[in-house]
Amino acid sequence: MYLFKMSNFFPKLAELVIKRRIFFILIGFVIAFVLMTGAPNIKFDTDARVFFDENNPDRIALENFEGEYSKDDNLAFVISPKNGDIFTPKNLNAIGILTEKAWLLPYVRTVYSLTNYQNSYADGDSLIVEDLITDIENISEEDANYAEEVANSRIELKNAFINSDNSISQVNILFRLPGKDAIIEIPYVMNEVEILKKEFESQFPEIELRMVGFVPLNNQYSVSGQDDTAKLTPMMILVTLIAVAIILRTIFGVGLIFIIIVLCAGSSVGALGWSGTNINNATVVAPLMVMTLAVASAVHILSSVRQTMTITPDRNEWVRRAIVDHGPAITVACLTTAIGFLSLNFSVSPPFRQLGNIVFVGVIAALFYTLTMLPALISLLPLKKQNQKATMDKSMSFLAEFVIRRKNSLLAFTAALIAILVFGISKISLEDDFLRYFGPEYELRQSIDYYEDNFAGLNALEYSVNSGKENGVNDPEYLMKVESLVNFLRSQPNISSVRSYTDVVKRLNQNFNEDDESFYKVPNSELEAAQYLFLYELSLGYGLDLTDQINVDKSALRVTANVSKTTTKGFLELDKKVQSWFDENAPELSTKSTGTSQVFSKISSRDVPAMLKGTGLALIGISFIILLVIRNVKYGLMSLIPNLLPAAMAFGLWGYFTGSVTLAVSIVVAMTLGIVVDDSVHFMLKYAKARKEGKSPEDSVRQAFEKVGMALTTTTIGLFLGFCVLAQSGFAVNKDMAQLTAITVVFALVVDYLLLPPVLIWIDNFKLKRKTT
Amino acid sequence: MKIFIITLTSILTLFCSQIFAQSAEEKGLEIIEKSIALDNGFVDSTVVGKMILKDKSGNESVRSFKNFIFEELDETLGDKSIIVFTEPRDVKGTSLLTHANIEPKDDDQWLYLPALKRVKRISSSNRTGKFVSSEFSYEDLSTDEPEDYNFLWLEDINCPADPSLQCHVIEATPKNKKSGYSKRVIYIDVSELRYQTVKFHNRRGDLEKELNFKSYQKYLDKFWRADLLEMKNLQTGKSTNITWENYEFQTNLSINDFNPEKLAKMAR
Repeated sequence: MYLFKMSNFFPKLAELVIKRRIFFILIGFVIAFVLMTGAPNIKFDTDARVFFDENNPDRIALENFEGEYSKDDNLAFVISPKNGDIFTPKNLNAIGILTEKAWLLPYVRTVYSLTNYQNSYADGDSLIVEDLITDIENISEEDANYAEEVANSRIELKNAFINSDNSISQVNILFRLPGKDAIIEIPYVMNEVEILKKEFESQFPEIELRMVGFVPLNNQYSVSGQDDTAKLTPMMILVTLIAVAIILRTIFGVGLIFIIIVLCAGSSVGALGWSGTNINNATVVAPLMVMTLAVASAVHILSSVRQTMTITPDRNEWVRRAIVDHGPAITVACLTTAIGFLSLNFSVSPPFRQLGNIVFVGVIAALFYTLTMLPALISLLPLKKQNQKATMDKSMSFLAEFVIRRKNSLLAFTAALIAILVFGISKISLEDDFLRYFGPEYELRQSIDYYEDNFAGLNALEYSVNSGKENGVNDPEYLMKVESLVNFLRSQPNISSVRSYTDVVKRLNQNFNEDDESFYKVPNSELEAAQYLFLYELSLGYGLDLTDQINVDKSALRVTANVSKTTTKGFLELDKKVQSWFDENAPELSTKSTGTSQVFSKISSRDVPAMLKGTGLALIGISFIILLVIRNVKYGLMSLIPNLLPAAMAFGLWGYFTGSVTLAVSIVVAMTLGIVVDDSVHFMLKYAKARKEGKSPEDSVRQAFEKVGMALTTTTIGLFLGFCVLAQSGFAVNKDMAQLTAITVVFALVVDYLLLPPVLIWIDNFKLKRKTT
Repeated sequence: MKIFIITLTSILTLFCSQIFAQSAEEKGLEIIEKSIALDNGFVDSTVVGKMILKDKSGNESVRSFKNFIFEELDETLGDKSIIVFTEPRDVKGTSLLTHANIEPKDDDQWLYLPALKRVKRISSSNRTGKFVSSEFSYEDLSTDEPEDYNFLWLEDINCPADPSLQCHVIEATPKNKKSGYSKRVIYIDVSELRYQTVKFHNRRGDLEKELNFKSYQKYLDKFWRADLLEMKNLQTGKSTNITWENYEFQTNLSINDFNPEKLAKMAR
């Protein structure tokens, strides 16, 4: 077998490793150690926005919007009294106390609650703007009843500060984080929030308190990342080592594998530390992936050693054969995997690029360690010679016979299976609800679901409706158009509440006219509207203002529509409806939607085309390597079948069983391509070699199964188990990615075993027949 | 024996600091009372104010107004004042009449909106709210009433805004829980007892805002007025400057001019 021009590279390497084994062991440790000193620099990102590039147009639009109004770094305490009625003096007192205490949290900008709602009303010739509950220490039954009446008559409060049956309320705290170091600021805030929460719960045991909002969500990003590391790392090590122990039946080999995977993972994490980027929810699994991939390489060496030791007791011969026989295959496998991960650099989402690069470093490290340090250790350490042959080889020849005998029915069966599976792709929908990236095992996720089930929507469509001129927000014509937009939004079934200044100005008009309900409308003149606004701003309570509703030069109003329980698709369709409302009713005010939900809802559809490019290039690069190795255009082209089909099948299966997929969707093909390609390359190499030696297609298949069947099966099992462990992640993007990869890896083996051999036999026999006739 | 001496010393130190603390409180109150008393007898004043609001990115907006103040001689009542806005143009003529009261009683306030040609009495329990969206709250703009605070003299140092002057540093803790501040640190110059700097600590206790009084001028040979008030919000980066122009004193305003029925007339 001849690989590259450097066909004598591997024998030379083998001799070098045997001769300089101490050196290779030491240098391996030194390199790993130097890389690992970078690890302490690593910090956890606490920002959901890590998924968006600085130049992501949706992110830019959102940040402009936030510059004009405010950034909603909020935390909402969801208050559910056990008696099911917010409007009792005791419960209102509790809300009032929580509101006041919330002001004492760090970086607080504003606190909005039911009790400090700025209630405006006419009282004789007076106009009053005051807190809904003026004195929280002395709340009478009448005060509570009055508050109930007001709250249920104000559209600004219903479904925003009080739910439909008056059983739940919320205190919404807006923070102004300095933004210098989110990694410190958010946990600092959360720490004090937890103290406040405990304090409240012990003071009011008859009230359930939950938390939702961007601050706890961002915090969750670092918490669940750390959870993932803590939970998955030992699981990954354990599963891998047990699997290796069962397959190889050598405890000593397990120890060696352990050293190798720790060094590989350590090197990749260290490289991340040196690069100065923070670790985040997506990259946190990178070292674990490296472990899995490294095991796949190391297993080849060890299983070769296991085979050789039944023949000869010469340790150096074990090592020599392992490197010479498997070195080329391991190199090809690592390089294709590395290319696949490198292509993640095409992603528009920075964490995926980082993931790609970390794994790239890890895989290259794995290549280096498995070809130098691992054999050196084997030749040095007292690995016990075993005479027993591993069990799986027998089942491989059984499988080979089965495939050859049933080749026609297998061809038909797998083709049908593939067709059915691939059709399932059409059932996949992109679903990026950043509120639900975290699994239901997390308290925050439970709170979010509770809130949406019982209160209102947390996803929001944001619009900045620009009048086109300074102080234009006071123009009655403009106000009326915004009002009808608000009415349109309120008529949508999925929209739970809408917030807009138009409600305030309508109320003020009514208040100024002795609470005459016929004046609950946009004022008649611009001056009137301007002076109402002035009056209102003059009367607001502590820390309250309209800066998050009206922009600085008063040319635009913000309209926020909270959308509840909807899919990404439904969310985007809702926005489309709003856009067509603008086109029909107020084209001059037309504006694109923004908001965190919107940016997330677009991320997958932005990343898929970007990654298609990356995947295409990876495919070209990987195919090039395959051609170099196989040196046969026909087999090279045929290898595309088992390389591309598995991912398509996995997506199809996903479509039938799960349906929706997160951002992970864009990177899975590129990622798995490099991994699954190994199987087919090994198989076809052995097949092609046998054919060259003049064997019949059937016999060549037999030989291929015999030579690489066991190795492929073991690596696939290893990879499958590894990605199954990753699939235990509490973060949906990782989970989807790992599950899809695990399925893909298995399908790859299925295709390589059940489809590829019949196809090879069929094509080669067809040619043979044509030649003879 | 050694322990005995240490105990004695600590008891003595504690005892002394107790006395010291008491006198520091008295000293603080005395300075503030003196400073306020210096302003007695101005009778009435009118002044044109211009407020420039700046946000973090430098966007500016302007509010201009004329301010009439009538000195109330009755100790149980506060001064009376009218603010007539002249800018922005769409609120021109909007006027706010305030009859200040001593806490805990809320001030009485009336508002005149020229677009509706009507005077409305408005509630003013929100003394902590922002004044016309500026960094000043009503609380910041009203004179200190000694009975509303606990004062504590801290030290005498160089004034932070003008190191050539010596300043008394006094901590004022509001008695009213509804105050927007946990405390204010007031810097009053030793020689003329003028407010030089006030540092506002928010309810949490963090330093939130800093106000500097600049360009003091003496009117009627007795009354010091700063021509420029610079308020900076250290947390948001926003700032508000007020410049005062055309101070006039004892202009023969009558208490009747501060009657709600007269507000429409004064607004012109």
